[in-house]
Amino acid sequence: MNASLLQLEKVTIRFGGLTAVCELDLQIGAHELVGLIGPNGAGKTTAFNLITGVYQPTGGTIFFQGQPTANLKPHQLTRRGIARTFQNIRLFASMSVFDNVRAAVQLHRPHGIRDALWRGRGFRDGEKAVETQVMELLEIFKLGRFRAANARSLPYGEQRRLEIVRALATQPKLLLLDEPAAGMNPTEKLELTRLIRFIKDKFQIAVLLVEHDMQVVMGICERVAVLDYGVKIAEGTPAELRANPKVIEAYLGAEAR
Amino acid sequence: MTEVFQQLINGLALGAIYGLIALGYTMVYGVLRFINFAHGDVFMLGAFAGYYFAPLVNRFLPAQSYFGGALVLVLAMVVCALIGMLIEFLAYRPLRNRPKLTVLITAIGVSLFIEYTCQHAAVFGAAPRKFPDLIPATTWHIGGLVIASSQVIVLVTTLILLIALRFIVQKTKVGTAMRAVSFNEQAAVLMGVNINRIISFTFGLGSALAAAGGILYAMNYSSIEPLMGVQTGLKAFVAAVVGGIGNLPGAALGGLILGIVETFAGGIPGLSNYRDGIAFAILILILLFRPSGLLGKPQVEKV
Amino acid sequence: MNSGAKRWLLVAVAAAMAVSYFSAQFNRYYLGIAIDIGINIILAVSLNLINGHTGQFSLGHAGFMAVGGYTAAKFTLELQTISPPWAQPLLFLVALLLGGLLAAVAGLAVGVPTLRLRGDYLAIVTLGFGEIIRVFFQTTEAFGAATGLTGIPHWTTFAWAWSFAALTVFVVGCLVSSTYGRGFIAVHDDEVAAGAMGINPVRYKVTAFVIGAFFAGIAGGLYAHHKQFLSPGGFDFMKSIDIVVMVILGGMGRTAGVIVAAVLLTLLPEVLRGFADSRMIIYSLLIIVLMIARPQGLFTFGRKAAGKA
Ligand SMILES: Nc1ncnc2c1ncn2[C@@H]1O[C@H](COP(=O)(O)OP(=O)(O)OP(=O)(O)O)[C@@H](O)[C@H]1O
Ligand SMILES: [Mg+2]
Repeated sequence: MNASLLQLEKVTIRFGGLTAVCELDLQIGAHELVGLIGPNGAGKTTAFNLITGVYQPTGGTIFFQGQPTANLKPHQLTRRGIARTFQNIRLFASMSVFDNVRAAVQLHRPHGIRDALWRGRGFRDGEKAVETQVMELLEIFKLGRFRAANARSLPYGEQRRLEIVRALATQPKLLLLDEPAAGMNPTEKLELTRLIRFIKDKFQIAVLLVEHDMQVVMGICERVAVLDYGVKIAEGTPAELRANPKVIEAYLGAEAR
Repeated sequence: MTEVFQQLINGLALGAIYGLIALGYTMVYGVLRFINFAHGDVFMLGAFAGYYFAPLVNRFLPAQSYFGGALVLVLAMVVCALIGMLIEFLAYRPLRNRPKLTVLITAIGVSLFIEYTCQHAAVFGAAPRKFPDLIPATTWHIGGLVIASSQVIVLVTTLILLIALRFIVQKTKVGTAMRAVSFNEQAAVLMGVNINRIISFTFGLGSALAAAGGILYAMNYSSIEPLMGVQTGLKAFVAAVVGGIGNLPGAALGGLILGIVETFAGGIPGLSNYRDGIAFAILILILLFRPSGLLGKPQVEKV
Repeated sequence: MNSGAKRWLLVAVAAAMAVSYFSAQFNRYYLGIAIDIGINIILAVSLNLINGHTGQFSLGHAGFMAVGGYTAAKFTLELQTISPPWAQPLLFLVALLLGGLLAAVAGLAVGVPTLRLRGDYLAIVTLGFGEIIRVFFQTTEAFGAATGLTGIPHWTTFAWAWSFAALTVFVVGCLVSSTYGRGFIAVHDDEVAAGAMGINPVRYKVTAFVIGAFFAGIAGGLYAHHKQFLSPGGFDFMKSIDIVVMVILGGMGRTAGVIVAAVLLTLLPEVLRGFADSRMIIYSLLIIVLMIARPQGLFTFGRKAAGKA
């Protein structure tokens, strides 16, 4: 296989009569920041669900680090290095901010049931290390002061940020963000844009970004793919897309500016 | 061979009764998405209603007449419909939109409440009672087969009720509204459907069918007691799941399958002791291999 | 819970033994109730791992209890006569553990095939499993069929019951509060999100079922050697409901609340003894009223506190 981190080859999924994603080809390199845009119902979230193993494609193949991902469960893909956020925030509702991240950090911890019950030295050191790790992450994203608050009690923007932190805690190689700017005000959006760039550089990961806000997408993505009714109608740099009549038509010229 | 046919007839009669009760589970699940645990007890109340109505009806209609029997059946169905609506109003309505498990536990509480109240000496008492003969007791011998009139009545009544139900659900306004609610509650509300009325109606309808099941059951097994609805209710629920919960023909089909399988298993010496376990074994198998039931549509969770 | 947890366990067990040492002075009736309470705490706290923490609504706990109870009872009934008296505590311990292990196997057998099911479907299937287990004991001659097992030695003391209660609380508490154990709560809160965080929901669910069933089995063994008699009817789904009600009243997923609920609900029938006829009517009414008025449990005030195990 070639060097791309994620590769979709003619990936298709049908729900009954509806083809939500149709023969989608997409490649993402190791440290790329790629955008995926398209009108409502275009199949963007569905593409995420295919990449993360929530749905199995009806046709086509997905490769991650050169390996086909068919039949892998979502948690197995996360272990291999794909993390995501959800369009309709799915934080763990009964847990604190701290524990939301802790639940994700546990993925790469060696301690299981036996240690949790025996509570030996190694276990206690491990739990301390977890705490440090979680707090470091929270501090980077300025969420440290909320550590004990219930995750769902945070302001909306903070919840979205916490979802990103939680995804990063699984130490991904590829981060999928599903409309992270939804519901944010312009200042928050600006901050988010900076944050995404920062994440990509600091953690040295690839990011696939689904977003309706064109300023966010066009501002930070190196390359953007456009979906319409499940079909990829265009792909290129933001500048190329802005001039592409197909894209403008798909958006009825309204949002594309 | 006659043996097989005989079991088939017995199984059909039992299955028809399961089917009638299963319809109530399925309808309620359709509109409210929860298991009305107390449904089996409404079935029991139906049988007891018949027990008390029979002497009343006999005052002005000859005992053991088909017409008298039908009247008892209708009266019991009406009473149980009211009881079903009352249960919904008192216990379930305050819990609308609460977590499903809260409602499930409440339903179990309602079920226990009915059972223990009825067992109380001041109500029905715990001892079994003999159910009066509602219709002329005849048995026909065809070839080697023995067919009781009550078995024929079970099948005929069930058929009539199923046709009536189909008419109500498909052709009437309230039936259409019911289908709309179970298809998409929010959309139905937007279309101006009065949800409370529809849910109430669904409980009434389901309870009436359970009452009919109770009377038909009592006619065939001739003894009734306050806990008769526990096992029968659970099995009818299994029937609803086997057929595909939320699916009306499925409930009837599931009932028939369960009735027949159980009757045949009861006839096999080694297996007869396990009769009560068989329904659950079927349930588990169905849920493993076809979780949406025989006629139900599979559902994919949207993420 | 921190590393002091192990010390807590030792102290609790020692305390149970100390109390037990003086048990001859206690009123037999109250002692019996105290042991009942210990057993019910084991049942409720272990079910809480499945229902409360992991969110897998199980109505089959009585079935696991039956497996443990019958196994342990059969074991002691067979070996009691040929083992020397000094070996009795050891024999009992082995009987209990064996019962727990077989119950855990039953938990595995229930957990694995039911994984795909949720909510009330899972409830009804676990109920079905419980009933199948009951029917099995009811029809198997070796286990006394419909009459059940009698003449089981009276070996369950206060110390046994409460030591195992403490152990159950320790195990469930330690598991759930550890980083590893956050997985149980994650699965409870949102299975899809849990999967996306690399948590294997299947694994956690099965683990919860197996551990929960193990302790239910232990409780069954203690129960058998407390009542000295087992009948299949004692493990019908009413028994499962009783345990579920303890978990719900205690506030799903709150160990302390569940323990208090287990104590209260064990005492309730004793308090209502005077109303023998209407006792169960009151009990069922209580369930309904509480579900309508306080579905979050008796002791939960305001919003569910964050991160509470
Ligand atoms: N599980 C499912 N079953 C049936 N249809 C589905 C399912 N998931 C998605 N769809 C359909 O697939 C199409 C694409 O949906 P998707 O959520 O991927 O769109 P999207 O591009 O993310 O839109 P939005 O911008 O609104 O989030 C929609 O028509 C949706 O209804
Ligand atoms: Mg989307």
